[in-house]
Amino acid sequence: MLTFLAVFIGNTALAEQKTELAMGQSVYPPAGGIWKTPPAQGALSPLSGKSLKTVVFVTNRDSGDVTVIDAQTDQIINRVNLESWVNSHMAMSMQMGGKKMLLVSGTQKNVVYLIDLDNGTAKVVPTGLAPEHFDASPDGHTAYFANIDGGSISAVDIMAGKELARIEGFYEPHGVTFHPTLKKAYIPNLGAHEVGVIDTVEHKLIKRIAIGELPKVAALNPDKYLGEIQGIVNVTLTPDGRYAYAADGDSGQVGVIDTATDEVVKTLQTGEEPWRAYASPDGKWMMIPNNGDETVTVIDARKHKVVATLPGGAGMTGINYALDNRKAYVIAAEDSSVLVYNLPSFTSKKLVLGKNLALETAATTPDGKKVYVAASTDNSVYVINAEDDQVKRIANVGQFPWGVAIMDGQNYCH
Amino acid sequence: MKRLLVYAALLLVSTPAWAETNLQDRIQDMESQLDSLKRQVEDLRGRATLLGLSEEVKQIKQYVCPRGHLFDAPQTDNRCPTDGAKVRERVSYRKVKLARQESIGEKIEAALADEAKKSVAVGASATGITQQIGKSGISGTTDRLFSSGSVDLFFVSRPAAFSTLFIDLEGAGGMGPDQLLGTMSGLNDDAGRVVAPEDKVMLREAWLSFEFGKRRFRFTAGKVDLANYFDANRVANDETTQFLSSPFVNNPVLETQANGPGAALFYDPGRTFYAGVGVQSESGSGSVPYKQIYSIAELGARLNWLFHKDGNYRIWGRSHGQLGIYERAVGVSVDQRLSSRVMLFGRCGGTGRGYVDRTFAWSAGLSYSGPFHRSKDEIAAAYGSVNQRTVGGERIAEAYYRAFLTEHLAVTPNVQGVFRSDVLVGGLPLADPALVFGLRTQIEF
Repeated sequence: MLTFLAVFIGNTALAEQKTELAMGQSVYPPAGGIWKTPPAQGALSPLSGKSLKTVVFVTNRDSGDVTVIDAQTDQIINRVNLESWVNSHMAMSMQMGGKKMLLVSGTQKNVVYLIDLDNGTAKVVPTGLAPEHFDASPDGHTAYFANIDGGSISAVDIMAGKELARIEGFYEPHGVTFHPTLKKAYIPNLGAHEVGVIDTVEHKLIKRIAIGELPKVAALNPDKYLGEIQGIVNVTLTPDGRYAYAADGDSGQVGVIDTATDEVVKTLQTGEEPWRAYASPDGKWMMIPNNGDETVTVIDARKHKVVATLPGGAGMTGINYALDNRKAYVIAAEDSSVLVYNLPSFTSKKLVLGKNLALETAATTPDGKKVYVAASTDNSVYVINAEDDQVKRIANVGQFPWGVAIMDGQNYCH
Repeated sequence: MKRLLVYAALLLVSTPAWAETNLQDRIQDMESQLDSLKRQVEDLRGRATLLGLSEEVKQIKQYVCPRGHLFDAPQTDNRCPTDGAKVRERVSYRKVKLARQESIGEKIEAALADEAKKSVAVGASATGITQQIGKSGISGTTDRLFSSGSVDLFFVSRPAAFSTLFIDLEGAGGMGPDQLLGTMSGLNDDAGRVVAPEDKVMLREAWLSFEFGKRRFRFTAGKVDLANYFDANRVANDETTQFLSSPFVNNPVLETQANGPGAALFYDPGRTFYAGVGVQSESGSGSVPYKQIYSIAELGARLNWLFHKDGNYRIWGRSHGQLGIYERAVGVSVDQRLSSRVMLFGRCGGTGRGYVDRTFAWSAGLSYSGPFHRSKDEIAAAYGSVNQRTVGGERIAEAYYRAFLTEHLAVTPNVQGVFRSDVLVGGLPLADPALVFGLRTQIEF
């Protein structure tokens, strides 16, 4: 196992950075990609004394670092540098045994970073090919990283910093969802029309569940289905963990899985090319953006019934709920906008964030009052105040910001 | 001398300690370098593996339990191991990674092919319709088979941000059964566009559209078909994919003119309400008197008042002048989802007194998508009425089943009925009822 120091910017550098930000200039070093600031060990982190619930972590894919934003002031307060060309994809902050931890997937380097935010040290754990998305077990001891190119899951012991097992048998595994109480995790296969179930004690694939039925015409028109495949992006649990929703892109269907038996109890038709389901925190709704026909399917998650199909936008990449389930924000990446739906009336309006923006992912603060949206094309994060839908831009976040994460907030990645 | 000897002795004594420290440092340094090298080798191995990987989607056969449990191999006695239920076979697809080296030439070729796809998008649609009059009051019509068809070639390009250039070239032929039955409503809207000489290729639409004002406004100008923008309906608005009868494509009192120079401006903030206005030349000419301008305005609302199910409600008003007389009409168009598969539509509208007498028309119907576990298929039925004060009235009904044979090929058998028609053809009543059976084939790319 390798260990290296995650380089934190010291207080002096922070002051300089703020100055540069005020001038609207890049905060990045000219060449080489890595900050040359001396390693800052010990309690130099400005995170000390802060709750991780008020800290936003943004992974920047092209600059190989993670930007830290104070959600109370919306100022950049820190930057965690990884390695050059690492293509960091997703981050997750967590509190474990009094320690503040940050987990980051280093997709291009085939490693994951387990960073101790208190002392600025990190453990680098080699994984399978291209780890992108991951989830941590409810007890916080283990994390499963989905190696999308390797077709495997790396089970990693977070505190020991080592890979416990590499679980094979997946086809472009695109995510991981740990069940909150049952000892299992659900793995969606983007490159197949099935969900895998892992026993998280034994770290073994124990079941495979078929999702979606391709139209019979597929056999007559194989070109489409043999050209590209759009399987399952994510498995979304209802907040009580009773059911799991898995949307299959090619079939335009979502399978409802009873998590007690891992059986598909219902299959619902969505719009064309559904992306994935997003559960409202109150457990009432599942909303699914359909990028094929640019609609949003609304499902009553208690009755497992489609109750509405709403007009959506182009290239929808995520849905964030806010204000105690009174609002839902749908990111329409190719429209440079966010669609705002009032629940449960489902009246909507469009919030245009700018021009030619590629909006990626977003996170809602735990209090549901703000939504942070990463925009990769202009290296910014847009902060939406859910009360009045006013938007604030945090510029120069990093190069190609992608994943946004807040502890106990509503987070997702794509 | 004695002091020198002491120094020499001390030096000899201390040398091993120094040497040992030096050795340990060197070992540590080498271990560190070894770690670094190991890591670099891991890194290179990963990169090399990625470079060699190709992807391919494979068709596979799987075995599925009724409750979704999935296996790659047949199960004992064809029974599900968990509950003993019968296992069924299914054909599915799976993406696999292959360690197959592609030459640089192959990769460049693939990249160029991808790039070519991103330039001007070209689409094509061909519709063929065969209709047979099953019953009518006019003698000599039931043995007649009518064929019509149209081919459309679309070109779409984005010349600038938030703009679209659209061109539709169409060739059409065949007049449909209305040349004999002469209904008030029109039994083949696709053939209704055919003008003599038949079979010529015409520029059906050519317009440039752009968005502005935070993309809330959309302005379209050129040779346009205003019926594409106003009186829209999700269930009944397209003669090539939905109902064939003209009253179920647009409200008869909408009376949009043949495609010609025109413009449409829509304001849509993406909320509940939206609105639009449009104008078009009556004569198809770019230079027309202002009295021969067709103008229309529409207010639309997206509502989810019915059990949270989505519906579109539109009200429009239009005005146009011919023969020096203005004529105005108003109408509404509604489509409302009743369940995830069932959608309802309704239209009605009427004209004021104009160069023809007052006309009132209404229609309503239902569509059901995904019958018989065929998710893309659709069944629909509609009934409507047209009444003109001086000429009389006519009732019309249509039902169709649209079946997809492949992703791009659909066949639609349909039946149309004309009831209580007051129309006289050659001095004879049309029929009560007249029945027309049809088969539409559509290929779309």
